[in-house]
Amino acid sequence: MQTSNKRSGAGAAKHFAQEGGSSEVRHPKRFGGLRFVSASVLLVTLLLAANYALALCLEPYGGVTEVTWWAYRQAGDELDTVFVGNSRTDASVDVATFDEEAGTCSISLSTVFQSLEDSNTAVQTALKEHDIKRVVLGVSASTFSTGRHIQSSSTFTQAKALGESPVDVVSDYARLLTSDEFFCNDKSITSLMPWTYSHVPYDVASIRQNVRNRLTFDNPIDANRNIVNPDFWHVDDRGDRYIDGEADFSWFGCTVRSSGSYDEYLEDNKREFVRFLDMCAQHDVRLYVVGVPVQFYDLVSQGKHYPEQMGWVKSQVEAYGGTFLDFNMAREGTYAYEDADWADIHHINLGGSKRFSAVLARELMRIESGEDVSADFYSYDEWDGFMADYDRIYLVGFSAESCDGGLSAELWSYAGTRVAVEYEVSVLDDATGEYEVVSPYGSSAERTWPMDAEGTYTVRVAARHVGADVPFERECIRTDVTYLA
Amino acid sequence: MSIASLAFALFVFALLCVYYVVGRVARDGQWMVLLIGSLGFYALQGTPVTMVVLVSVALVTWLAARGLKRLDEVAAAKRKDASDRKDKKLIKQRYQRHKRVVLWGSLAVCVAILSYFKYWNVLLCYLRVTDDPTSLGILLPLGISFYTMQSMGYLIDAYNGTCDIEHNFARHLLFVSYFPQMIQGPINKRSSLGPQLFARRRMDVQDIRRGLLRSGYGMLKKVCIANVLGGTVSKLLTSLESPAMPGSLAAYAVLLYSIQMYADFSGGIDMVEGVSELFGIRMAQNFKQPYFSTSLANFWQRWHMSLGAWMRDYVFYPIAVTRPFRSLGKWGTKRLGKQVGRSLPACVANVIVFTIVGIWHGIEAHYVAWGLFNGLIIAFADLLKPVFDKAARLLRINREAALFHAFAIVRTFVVVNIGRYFDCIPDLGVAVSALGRTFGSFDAGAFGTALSTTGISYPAFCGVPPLVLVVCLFVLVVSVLYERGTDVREAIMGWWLVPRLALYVAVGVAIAVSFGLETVSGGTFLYANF
Repeated sequence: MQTSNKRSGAGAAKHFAQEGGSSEVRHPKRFGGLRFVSASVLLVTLLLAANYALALCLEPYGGVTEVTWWAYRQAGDELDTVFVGNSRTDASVDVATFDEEAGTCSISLSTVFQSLEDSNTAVQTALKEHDIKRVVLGVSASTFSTGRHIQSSSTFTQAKALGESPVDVVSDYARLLTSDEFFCNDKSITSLMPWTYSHVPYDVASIRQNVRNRLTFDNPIDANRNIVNPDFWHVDDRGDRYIDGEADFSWFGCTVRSSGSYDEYLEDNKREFVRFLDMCAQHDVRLYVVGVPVQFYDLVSQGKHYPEQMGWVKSQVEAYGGTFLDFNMAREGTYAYEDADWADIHHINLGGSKRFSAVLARELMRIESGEDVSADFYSYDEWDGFMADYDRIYLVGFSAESCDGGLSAELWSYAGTRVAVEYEVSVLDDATGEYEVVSPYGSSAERTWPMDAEGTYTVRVAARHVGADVPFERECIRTDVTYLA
Repeated sequence: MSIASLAFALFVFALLCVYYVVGRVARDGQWMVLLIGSLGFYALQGTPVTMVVLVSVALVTWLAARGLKRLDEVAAAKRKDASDRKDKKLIKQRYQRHKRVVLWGSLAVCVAILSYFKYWNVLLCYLRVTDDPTSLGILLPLGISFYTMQSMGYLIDAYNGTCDIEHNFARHLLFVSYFPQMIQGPINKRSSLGPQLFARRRMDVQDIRRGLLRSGYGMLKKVCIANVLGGTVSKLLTSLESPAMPGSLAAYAVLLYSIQMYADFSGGIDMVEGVSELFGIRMAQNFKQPYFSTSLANFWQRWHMSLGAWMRDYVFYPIAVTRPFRSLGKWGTKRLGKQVGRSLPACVANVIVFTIVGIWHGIEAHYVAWGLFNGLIIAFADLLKPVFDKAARLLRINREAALFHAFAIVRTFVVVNIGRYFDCIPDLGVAVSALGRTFGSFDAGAFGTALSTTGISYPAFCGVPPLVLVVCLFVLVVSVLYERGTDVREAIMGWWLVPRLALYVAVGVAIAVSFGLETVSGGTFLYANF
């Protein structure tokens, strides 16, 4: 064992080879302290430069969070309403429709996977820089059950930094890096490199297109329209985001069994929510916390947890002088979404957001004119009645696996509590293009049927009310059912 | 606190600054800085209960070692006063018995603490007292296996008189709680780690450079290979529960697990060894290119070496020299010949040792089977050595030839991976079934279809993105260089600045890209569970 202060030159050092056991080695060149510091500074500079260059090449120019904050920076002084929340809120609210109905001037600072902490930051920024009269926070169960998401928070911080003072930028990043969720794990490192999560495809054409967009377009909204791999978010002229397309209800019934399950509300989120309410109360703005539309299956799978937990949210909002409206509990005639309103299992599409935003604006304006709108909504005490009043089969799904000599399937559906469902299983015959019934209509939720040959099959499960005189009311089709003998 | 986090980097940086500043101004204060840092690190990781467990283990072993020394002193004094040889012998025997009681008593306390946290809930589950192996909510304190074994090793050394007895409890507590070893080892010996912890040292740039290089290499393995493959391996192994999955998929899953396990464990060890080197302290070596082993016994001399050394010193040798084992050797020589007589006690001891190694990993049946598999293979290889030697002579096989060396490496890799079925598949029945399918119905043709049903990430690359392959290749090259005796770190440090910086930037970018490819959370290590 040696102590370093007794070394004279390189030769005295005794080191273990990394994996190769102990060995006496001589340092090829003694590295002085100053040289080490210089080389370290050079290395850090190179790493930062590489990070910057990779961000320019790989991070999509015109991503939706970047657009969100760019649009905010362009907004005029007349801004009076701000929407915050996660992607469900962003997709559900069409600010143009809302403004048209309510006569307001709004901006949505909602972003994908936005945490309550980031909602808080967004609202604080808007309150500091504009004369905001109205704050609308869109919530769903996932708002409270999901932890802070690194990709969302780092892109949020990065996008917010554009156009900010250096002091605010440093303060935002310091808060991000030292936040409880990231400080003690590798997210604290990757939060400085959002391109590692959010990037164009790793191919030359995509990277070239992205760089070209940076050089060609002087704002992220125009770039967004030329973005490489634009997933399903689109941007209108004023920077508001929307989703196109319609959900295929015959497919996603199979995917929601796990994603729709109930998750406990996180204590950190509850604390952050109370902080948010307190901050709004202190700024003397009208606060609306709105339960944005989630699909009926989501409510069913949360069961009685939903009214219990949302009941807590409502009580907190009211304690801080805000207004809580849950549009998932709206009575018939107030608001009800249609299949065509959904872009996917979580998000409302453009048409749906226009319908929802018009209803939301009308309800808020009625409240501001002094009307009581509570009769438009079921209370959480009426949960059982609400579930019983729902008379549709909302969704059907199944899982299938190989069993002895065939396939076995577990079937499920999401429907009102008084609805009795029956199922039929059929398999696509590739030769004829027709579905062949392998298990006829019946109430059993477990089915098995024989298969002749190994392979991947298309299986369809149809569902209807027991005894209904229609071929089916809902169906679920899977093209990836594999049979292995 | 994950080792790959800003918090850990700041913690180490702050501790380093204080450590070396204190080294300048105080003659004997650096170890106290390490102690405070280590306890602080541990306090941040766990709960008050885990801290109490750590201090309790340290206290028991410290008191017991002091007790052993006191007994030696009393015995020596009494023997000095005794007049005849018979009395001296009786005194020696009596105090030896007392020492044994102290040793076994304190070892029993340590094992009981370890067993409670590691096995109690699982045992209750096996006995069907509870349905869930986590039902009692007993959280395994971080590093409990490693620091308990290290403490027990110190105690046994103290009993044997092969190490200095520590009089200062705080110094002993530092030996037990030294923070880099708390995550996943290695298991250090008092005689090698102790003097380093308590020596005064000044900052040496070479140590810092070597430490950073090693940590960076470890992080490359951990992030670019282990974390990217983790989710894929997990899904593949889960899919093996279906009896319809072909043997080819089982073999692929186990192969990827082998790569992931090596990258995770050796990567993590490199990271903590590198951190320790920043303080000028070199911990026990834990890996020596294990997948270049030429036999299973050789593999265990290269994989988790500190555990192997612990088992050798504190279990294997003590067992092998007991009277029953000596008798077994004599019986074997008389009945089965000289060679068998010489090997038999070691073979039985090996089976026992590896069964304990299996149980150390977990009390579940699959771990016991894994330990037994390793012990039996090593035992039979030893017993049948004369047969193999004779066969090689008859077939005129040159065992020194490079081709045979390569064959031995491949053969050992296959044997190690057969054992891995029991290690990585948590249900023994499924493990046996998967192994049976690998040899009975390999069915390479069904591999693609089966793989598509597992839901793995990067299905186009069979779950292994090209970057992982590149990094694996890099690790292979580095391993070959080490195997050939090159100290790669020294070589890199001797490079010209530009290629050296280019290498560092490339490694940094690879790690950054891999963060985005991760299929498991990067904070934990597989061996932290043990």
